[in-house]
Amino acid sequence: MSLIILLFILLLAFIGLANFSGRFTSPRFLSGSSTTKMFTVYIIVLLCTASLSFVVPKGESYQGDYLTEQEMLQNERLNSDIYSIVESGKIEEANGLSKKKSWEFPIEGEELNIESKSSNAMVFIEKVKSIEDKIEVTHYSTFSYVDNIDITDRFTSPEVELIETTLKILPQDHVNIQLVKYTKAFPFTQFAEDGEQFNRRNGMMQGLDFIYIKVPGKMEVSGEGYVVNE
Amino acid sequence: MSLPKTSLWDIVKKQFRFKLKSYRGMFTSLMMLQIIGILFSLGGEGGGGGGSDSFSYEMKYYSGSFILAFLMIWAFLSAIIVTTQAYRFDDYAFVANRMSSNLANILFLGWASIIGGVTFLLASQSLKLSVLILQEQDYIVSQRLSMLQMAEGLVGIILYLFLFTALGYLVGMLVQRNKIFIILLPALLFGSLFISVFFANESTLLIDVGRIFVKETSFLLFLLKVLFASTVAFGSAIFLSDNLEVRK
Repeated sequence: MSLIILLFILLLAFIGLANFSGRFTSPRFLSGSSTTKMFTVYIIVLLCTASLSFVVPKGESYQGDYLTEQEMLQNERLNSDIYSIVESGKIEEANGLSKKKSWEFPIEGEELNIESKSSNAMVFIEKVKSIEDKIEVTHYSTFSYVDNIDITDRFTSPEVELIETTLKILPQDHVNIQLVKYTKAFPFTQFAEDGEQFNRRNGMMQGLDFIYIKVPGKMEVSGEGYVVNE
Repeated sequence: MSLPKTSLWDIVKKQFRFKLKSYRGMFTSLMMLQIIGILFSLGGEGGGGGGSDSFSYEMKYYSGSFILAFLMIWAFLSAIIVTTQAYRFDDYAFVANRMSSNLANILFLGWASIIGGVTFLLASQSLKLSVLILQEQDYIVSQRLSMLQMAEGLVGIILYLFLFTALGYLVGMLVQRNKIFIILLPALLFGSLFISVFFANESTLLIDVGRIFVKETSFLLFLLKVLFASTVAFGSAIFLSDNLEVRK
């Protein structure tokens, strides 16, 4: 269907050009009887395609929510505070964090080595006396958005596996976002009451990823990661 | 025996109707420029990208700005063409004077601006449809126009086009008055642009004048500004046309 439209536009352009070249060489460039017919056809085509653009809303659906200016500003504020909150071991109290995935691994012995191959996930370890013979791993992340669209769900959690006494955190899948946006042409935004013309913000932020590991109180932890209560 | 008296307005109406028929080709050029504008716009008007080890993004923006730019050029050039000698001499088919001829031209240019504005609205919606259909990306976002935005935008576009026709008409009359303006006006325009490029921080008169209209967020004030500027431009053109040589 798209190819047909493109071909139709090209056909119109060709007819127009042929007419233009004929007129251009004629003594009166701005006259002619066939012009009315051609212009009428053009208007009809425009009317049809413009009407279709209102009728076909499916194409403009997007798999994400729009974030408001206030929400983005709030997320940026939360992001700047969140590291210190997690570092102090109060991850449950942190606002703006969403729990994405949890794992639980049984473990024997009192030694744990952590290997993280994830380039953007920060690893924190908390020693909890009430936990015995197991480790609990949770992946948290903050909001990510491109051009005000919430894309947090597009980021997957890393693979986590325990091999003997080594906990491996594998890299997350690469996320590629391809965004196409049809914006309003200038005069349609010039008189916007909210000053859209001058204050429009196209926020882009990649959220923070935290791997929070709870281990038994007596466990010795080595490798990559910061122990929050040692 | 007495001759029937004809009012100025009657002559203007007759001339306007004549111009609607004889200047139809102007709308062919409008159509062609809009099609070219749509084709240019299909390539995207802007975009960006970036990323990190685990994330990358590409954005592509579309809007009808290219079409609008072409329309403004069309409005400006069409008004200049209307002032050329061949078109002015058409008016001698009527019992008319320069005032009626100028008023009919202004009416015609106003009508052309309305046609230009309406077709722009339709063309930009057609572009939107093409973008929605042609693109197969993860996220396709389209900003919807509210009825108020559409109405204000449409009138805004018509006013911009009318302003450009007024400027074109004045430029055309200046050139008809003295051919030196063929060199002088482009030299002033490009000189002004070069100055703004060489001295990036220096504002130029041309840009400042443009800001008077572009930065206006009040619709009523914008309307008044455009009407005032157009009146001044058309008024000056009418004044200049009084001193043009008569047909021999």
